[in-house]
Amino acid sequence: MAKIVSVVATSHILMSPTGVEDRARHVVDGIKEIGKRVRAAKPDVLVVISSDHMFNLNLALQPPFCVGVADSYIPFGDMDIAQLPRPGARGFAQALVERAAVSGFDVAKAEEFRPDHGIALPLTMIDPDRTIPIVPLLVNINMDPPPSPARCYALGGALRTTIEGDRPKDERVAILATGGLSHWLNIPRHGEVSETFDRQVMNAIIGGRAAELARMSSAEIVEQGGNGGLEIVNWLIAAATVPGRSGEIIYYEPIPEWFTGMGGIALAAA
Amino acid sequence: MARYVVNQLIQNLFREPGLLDRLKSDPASVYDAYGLTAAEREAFSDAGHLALASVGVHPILQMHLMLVSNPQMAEMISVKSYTAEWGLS
Repeated sequence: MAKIVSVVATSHILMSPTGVEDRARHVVDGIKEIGKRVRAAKPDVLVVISSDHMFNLNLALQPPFCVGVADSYIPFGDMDIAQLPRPGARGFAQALVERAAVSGFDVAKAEEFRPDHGIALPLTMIDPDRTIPIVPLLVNINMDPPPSPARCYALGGALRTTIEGDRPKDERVAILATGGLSHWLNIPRHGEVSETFDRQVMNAIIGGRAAELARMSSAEIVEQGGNGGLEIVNWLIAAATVPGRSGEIIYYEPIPEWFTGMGGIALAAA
Repeated sequence: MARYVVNQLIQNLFREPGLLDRLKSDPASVYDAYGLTAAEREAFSDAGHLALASVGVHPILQMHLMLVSNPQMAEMISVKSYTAEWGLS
């Protein structure tokens, strides 16, 4: 039985700090703090749960969930992120796909996946040395309909079973969810941020009440947190690996100039 | 009603070598190749949210086109200033 040694979540965008320097600094410091905690847990594998911004999963082929099973990953390079390789974790990724299959989730597998900013940006601060093998788990929030919050939470349960039931003893696994918080992108209310929604989400998850949050419909999340707010389903998957576990907010900044509520949390170590 | 082709064109900008350059240098030839309607051509030339939404471009793909069409937006949504001054790698 492997061990979940760290569960964290963070927004995954940065925009120009000009005019919002203090808030940008707070965000960067927050993501770096999350990185310190992840690295201190000495994980052998880092599962990174994110949406893809249609550089890999677009309308041409629309799997609800996709697991990267490759041996290494080179970022797509959007946002001018350096295209430097990171190691993958094929054995863990395959185990996750197999466990998901017997748990009612026929997830897609990807040998060729170029992480966009959703994964690559936070990792520049969480694993700047690019040494921790990653398993990308993509949630396709951009398809219609997107995977429901309840399905995502249930998939988190399969991820937990993979770790605790299928993986070698002594393997140390960290979970990183990225995306959110509220943002309305190129839909009515474009540019709005809802601090109310953001705090509701973060407080539910750090209060060990992610299962309650998972009862929201996708439409309710879009209404309250925008189409980009749907990325909180990634956080729900992470939280479902340690149900009931409490945690803390590492940083929060509502930044309308970036069209995004920016936040990060860490759940308590086991 | 959205036509898939307007989204397909944007998706292919990062997949098909040379397409982005052709869109910038000779947009009409690209619009012809994809069979865009007059309204769709106008929306692509405008490259703004309301115009692109009016012809059914997916919100995320709207952002793709805006980023390649608007250097100021590309500069804003970039980690360049962070890599240079904030120590991000």
